[in-house]
Amino acid sequence: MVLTLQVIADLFYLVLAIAYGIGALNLPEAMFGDPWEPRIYPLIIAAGMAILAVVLLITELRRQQKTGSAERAQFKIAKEGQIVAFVVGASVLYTLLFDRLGFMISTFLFIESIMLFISKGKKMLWPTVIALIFAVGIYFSFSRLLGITLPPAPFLDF
Amino acid sequence: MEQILQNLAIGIGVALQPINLMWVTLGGVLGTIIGMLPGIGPASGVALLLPLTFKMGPVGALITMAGVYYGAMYGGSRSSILINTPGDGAAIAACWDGYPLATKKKRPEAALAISAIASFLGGMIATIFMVLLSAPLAKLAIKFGPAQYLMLYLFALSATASMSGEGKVLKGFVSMFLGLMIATVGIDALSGVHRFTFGLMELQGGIDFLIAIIGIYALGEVFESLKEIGKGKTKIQKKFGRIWITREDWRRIWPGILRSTPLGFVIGVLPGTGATMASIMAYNQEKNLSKNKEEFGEGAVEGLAAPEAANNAASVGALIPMMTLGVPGSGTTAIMLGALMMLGLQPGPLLFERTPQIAWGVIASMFVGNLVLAVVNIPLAGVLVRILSIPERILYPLILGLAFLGTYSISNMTFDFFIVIAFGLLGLFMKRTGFPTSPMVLGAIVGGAIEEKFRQALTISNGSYAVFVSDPITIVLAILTVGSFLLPIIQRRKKAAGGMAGA
Repeated sequence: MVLTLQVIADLFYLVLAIAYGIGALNLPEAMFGDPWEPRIYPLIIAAGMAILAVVLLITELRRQQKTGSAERAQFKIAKEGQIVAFVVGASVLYTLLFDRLGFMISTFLFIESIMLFISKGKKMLWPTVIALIFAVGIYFSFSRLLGITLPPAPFLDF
Repeated sequence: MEQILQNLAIGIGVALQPINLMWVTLGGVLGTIIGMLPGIGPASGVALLLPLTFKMGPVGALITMAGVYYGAMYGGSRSSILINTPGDGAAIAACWDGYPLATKKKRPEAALAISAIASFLGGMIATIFMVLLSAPLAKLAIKFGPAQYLMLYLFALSATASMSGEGKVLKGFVSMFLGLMIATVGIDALSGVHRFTFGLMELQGGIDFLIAIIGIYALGEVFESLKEIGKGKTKIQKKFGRIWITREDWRRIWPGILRSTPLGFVIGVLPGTGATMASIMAYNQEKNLSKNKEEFGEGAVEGLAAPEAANNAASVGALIPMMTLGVPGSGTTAIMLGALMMLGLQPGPLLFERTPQIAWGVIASMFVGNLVLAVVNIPLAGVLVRILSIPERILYPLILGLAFLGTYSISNMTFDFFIVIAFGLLGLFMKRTGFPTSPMVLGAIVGGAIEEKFRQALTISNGSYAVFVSDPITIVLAILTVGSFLLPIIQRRKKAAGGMAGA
């Protein structure tokens, strides 16, 4: 068995289905009505998914045997992986700062940082202006026009 | 018939109110823009624009979202024609002849006009079909009990999963189960049991499927598109002559438009199939019927018109099961259903019975919307396509910003940002490994209703599973469900066997 990306995916769904099924079995009993009732439906889902994942896994392994070709999954930290990793990191940071710094500042920093990363720091005038307009413009149009309150900046009075 | 005309008159009254005229224009224009931009399609468009609909009320929201949906069908072909990149999936067929027509034959004006005219006619004719079909379907659906609904949901899910493409049927079903799983997180409404909340208070209310969808579509698509960055961009043409067609063009395209519209409409109504499949099938049909097959792929006007009429007709058709039955048959209509439920409106047969002004107002607005879109996409096309020259390094970060903004305005909790990020990565992983995402989205949205109907039906039948095959409607739906699962598998076997015999 070669650990191709496909095998990893199939295994992922198999493990997920089993874990979910065990979770469903261990659900607390319903206080009223049939105590098993909240479990039946999740168990059907778990069984269905597990069966399909096994079939997919077997199909993939047979294919590997037959063709003999299998490309080992490589976690390529290529350019693409770097961008995705950066965006995820920036998003997590954004989540943590959103309430603390308020919508305008955190959003500006979030968008600006991703623009900086993608543009490799070149020609940043327009992106910066647009990020600024986006953060400030959305804040005011949402709170004034749509009545959706976004977290305010901590040290400014709006 | 008289009843239908009366209802339509009520609808036209609603659709022509100035505020609703404004919404349909807004929805159509935003839809065109969203359709044009590669990387975001109508599904993520509706999800991202959700905060805008909060203040509109249900009629305005539904009119706007429908406008975004069919507007995207108009917009998608703009980028197919000008940069050979479909703005959304359904515009792929417009690349095949639209781009050669614009470049090889140097007729970009004609290409833009033909696709817009075909879209307009496809949309208009399909809306007439919708007028005729909606009321009878809603009447039929009103007799549905929990068992019938359950079977209908299962058919919609099964059809969506099995239409995932060749060799992807099983993956489609895995994706569907994943969606159903997501829907079970949270407090079980019928028994009060906490399921899969891991003790987190934020998960008690369940994972909001709209938030999951923003993650899957908006973030997932941006992740996917980011790898294209820096590959250099085709320069887009900004100056055009008069955007219109010749008499000769018209003579060649109208039969194809009339053939493709009913085809697209029927494909749109059926669950699982969608605008993308409609446009590809219409293209193949037109190519098969054509006398000059060799011109296809080299800029044949028929090859551009037919799929464009079909995908607009399909987007109208897809609204029918969502509005009359409350059962979505595609990713985009599923999101619209979710959004409407959040706004306190339950689409389904009662929508037509109790609030005809909403149901018919939306249908009538589609006539208005198509007129608006014809204006936006023909005389104003030259202005609008400038949006295509926004560099990706500015566009994608803004989409990410909009995704988080949409999430916050739905739930007011930053915790949900983590859910968006997680689903974005899941979406990327699924795309990489060939698992389709729309069955999951559909499963996540109707999963709650499926379990509810399942348990209601069993309660009514005192626990007997025979209730699910107890009358003609459930039996037919059961056969269709099983058939939709088995058909692609049998076809593949046959094909494989045929291949062996041939070798």
